[in-house]
Amino acid sequence: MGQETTTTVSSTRRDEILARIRAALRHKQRSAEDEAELERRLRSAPRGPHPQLHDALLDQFVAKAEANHFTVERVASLQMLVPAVQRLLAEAEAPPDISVAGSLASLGWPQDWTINTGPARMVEAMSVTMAVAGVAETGSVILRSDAKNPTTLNFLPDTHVIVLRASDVVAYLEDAWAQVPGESGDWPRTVNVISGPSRTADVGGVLVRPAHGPKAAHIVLVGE
Amino acid sequence: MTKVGSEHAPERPRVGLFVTCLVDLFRPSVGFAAVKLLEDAGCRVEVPPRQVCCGQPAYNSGDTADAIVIARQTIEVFEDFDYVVGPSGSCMATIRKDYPEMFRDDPDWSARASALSERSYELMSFLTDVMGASLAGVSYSGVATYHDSCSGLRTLGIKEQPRALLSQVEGLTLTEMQDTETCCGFGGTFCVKYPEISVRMVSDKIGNVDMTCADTLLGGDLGCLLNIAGRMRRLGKTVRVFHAAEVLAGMTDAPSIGEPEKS
Amino acid sequence: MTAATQDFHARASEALDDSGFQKSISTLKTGFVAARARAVGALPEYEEMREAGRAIKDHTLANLDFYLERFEAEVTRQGGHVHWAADADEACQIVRDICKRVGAKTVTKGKSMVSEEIGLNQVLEADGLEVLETDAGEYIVQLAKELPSHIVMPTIHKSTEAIADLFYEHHRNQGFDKRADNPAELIGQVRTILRKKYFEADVGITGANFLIAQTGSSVIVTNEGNGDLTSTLAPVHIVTASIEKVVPTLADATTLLRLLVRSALGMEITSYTTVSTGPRRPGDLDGPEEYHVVLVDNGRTKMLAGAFRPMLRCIRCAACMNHCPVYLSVGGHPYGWVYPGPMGAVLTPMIAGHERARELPHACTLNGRCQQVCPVKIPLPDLLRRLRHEQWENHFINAKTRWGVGLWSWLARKPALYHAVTRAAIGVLGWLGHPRGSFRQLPLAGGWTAGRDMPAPQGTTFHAAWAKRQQRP
Repeated sequence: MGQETTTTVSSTRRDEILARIRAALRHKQRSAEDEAELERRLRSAPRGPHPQLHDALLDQFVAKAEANHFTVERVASLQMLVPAVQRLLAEAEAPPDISVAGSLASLGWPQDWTINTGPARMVEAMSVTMAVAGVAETGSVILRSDAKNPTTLNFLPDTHVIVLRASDVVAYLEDAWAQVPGESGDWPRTVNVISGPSRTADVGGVLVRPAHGPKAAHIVLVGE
Repeated sequence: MTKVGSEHAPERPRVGLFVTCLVDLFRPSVGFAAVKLLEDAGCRVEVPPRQVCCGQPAYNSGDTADAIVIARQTIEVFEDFDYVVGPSGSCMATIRKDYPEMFRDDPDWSARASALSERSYELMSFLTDVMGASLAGVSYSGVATYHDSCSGLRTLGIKEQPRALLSQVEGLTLTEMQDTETCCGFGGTFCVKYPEISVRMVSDKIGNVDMTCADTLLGGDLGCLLNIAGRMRRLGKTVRVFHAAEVLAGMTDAPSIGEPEKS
Repeated sequence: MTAATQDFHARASEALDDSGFQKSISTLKTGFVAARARAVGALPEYEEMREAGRAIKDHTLANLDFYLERFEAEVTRQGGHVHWAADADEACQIVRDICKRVGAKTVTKGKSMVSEEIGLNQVLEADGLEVLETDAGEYIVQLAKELPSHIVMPTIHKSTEAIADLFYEHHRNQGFDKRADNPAELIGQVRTILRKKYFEADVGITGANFLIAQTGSSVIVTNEGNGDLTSTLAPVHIVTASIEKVVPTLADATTLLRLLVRSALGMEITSYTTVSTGPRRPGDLDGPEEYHVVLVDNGRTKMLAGAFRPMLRCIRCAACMNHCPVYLSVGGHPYGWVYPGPMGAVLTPMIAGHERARELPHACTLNGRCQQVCPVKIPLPDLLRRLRHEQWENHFINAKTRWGVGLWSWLARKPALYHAVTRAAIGVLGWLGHPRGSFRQLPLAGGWTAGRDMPAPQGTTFHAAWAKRQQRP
């Protein structure tokens, strides 16, 4: 009942605000041509100017990612992922209890490891996630949420491992958005464009890593 | 001595000197320097007596009505000249940029304001960009640094022109200070409305002058120069402050701004 | 939160005399200003991008109704809710109602300037909710019960020492009984304390750097990851955003993002750029069950209608204040509200009213550096002068100034009288001043002579000297 009243008030207010906007723009109603033009623009989504890439796609991606304080390693195939994570876990001196994206869960993790495929836990040493794209322009990885990819894997662990196929690296951010819907064709609840580990400079202007998110972020770049 | 060097400089243009109220009241020598430079560049200079002010003090205080009345007076006084030239980036920016905006909705005055705007120039940029003038036989012994006044810099694009002219003065070494484009804190009425902030800003500017070890400070706007010189005198600094026109015209024997007369 | 800008002079004086503060604020020049200059210098396409950004914003504003309606339709299609608030009170009420309906006790907040503009935290706390800012800088000013002094770096005015004291006072009872004094330790405390709170939160509130009409999304950029934990862990995600935050497409947001991060931080991109669209989808393993966007007008439609429309282009990068010599001298607190510096000097009177912001349009030299660095080319000095004009028209200017300017203008319209009067006055002043070359004191000019000498005039006016010269044969 209370919610209904709020909705009623809100929709009246909605009409009032829209009316004020139209008055401010000095039109009562847009012409059909103008409307069509706006729809066209939405569909075509024109791009603005972008910086030039300095290097070949993958080389730039790796260079930029490293400048963003990712560590990057290249492996020939996904078979190499488990050994890579084993090594990272040993380096981090963390217990073998990690969260893994559903799509990576059946890669042959060691039997004595605890592999959590649900959302990340409050205390989380390491997560292994699957990116849908990498962006050479900025050295970023793109991750999306769905049944196999909980968003919390990207933010709660101390070390965040991101698996990225080299063939999924694109040049510019605009290209990356196109990768997001993927096979399912749907737009997800969350798209994370991640460009390095967590940091802040809010105390005395001194850069501190991490703030709330991961301390370290590691990209495993798979294939060519 | 200056000579005309450019092909597209008009033949002996008739120039109305826009004196500016600060030059008129505080430092006429700048006006005489401007006349000399313009005449040496081949201009016929007149000084219409019915001029007082560009209207900026009123305009920037929000008194648009009075600013418009003063602007009309200025337009009437100057519109028959080939060019209107003044030794101030701030005043000439008012005429070039603000006048057309002030009269945007006035069908009678809009065209006149635009016409005047197009023919109005700050002095040094006029000498270089329109007259193609160059200097010969001018000297000043010293190390100088140049303060870029904000309106001239940002509204009129005056940056290279004063330096190009000053580089032709024999014996003058030009050195760039840090933050040369940072506001000195004059800002018209700002300097008296917010004196503490203004003094902080001008002190920062003087700190930058100090770091260059220059013995002379130059600029193109008397408001800035009065502000900087005033603070320098209060701090006991001996840097000489001149309007760049005075150096370019070889008129630096008189006391610099705020300097006592030599006994 | 109501604006309190009448204290500008007093607070500015305090700030000028506070050497600790002066040290803190000077880091802006070596930090953000230098970084931005490097980033812009490294980008040959910068001016083109700036023009593209301006064009996107102007196009959107000229069609704001269309894009807001499209945004709402897309949000709804994805299972979210859009609410419309005419002013601060309505916006707060909408959030209160949602919190009440879900029985919220704990609320986490990502950085949202508009939520501070509408005074949201105080309203929710009055309802008995625990409200926690999660951005480290906002967390600190919340604890200190201060306003942020900068829209990107809220704690620019606070030394590490002061923050250490603050944390020691407030964190002692949360397991931190030893005083930490280095930034890494202090941030570590914030990480530990807030990590629990993210999980306890019933509602997570974030702002939006952009709203995307094409997809019905909100976009936030952070380096900390706090916004993401806020928006992902709580069962309800509320976005507070003013109506001009909407842009047509993700591609448009990308252009503006390139400008925003360079202008604000001198970086190409922040650690986290997140696009949130609706609640969790069926099958998702985490994410909120409800997604609400509260669209706030609060003076935007007023700005849209007139000469101030360009102000709505603002993408909240803070480049203007980072380059403003007045802001750099006195910091954000003298501006008295949530938006300081040049953008605040325009927004505060437009949103909070001229009465609450009399000083701000005047505490400016109109030097134009702000406009020069604005990534979307807002003509800030013109807007500030326009505000002075509106103050004059509405009689907010004090009598002394009106009288002074009026007298000057009257005299300026009578050239012959003006020249006669000034010739006499200058004659006297020149004679009085010429031995020393300048005045240490001058009646009616106390503002000038408090800190400066007044250079002496030369004893005659130019017009008098010129007339004399013309008379010679």
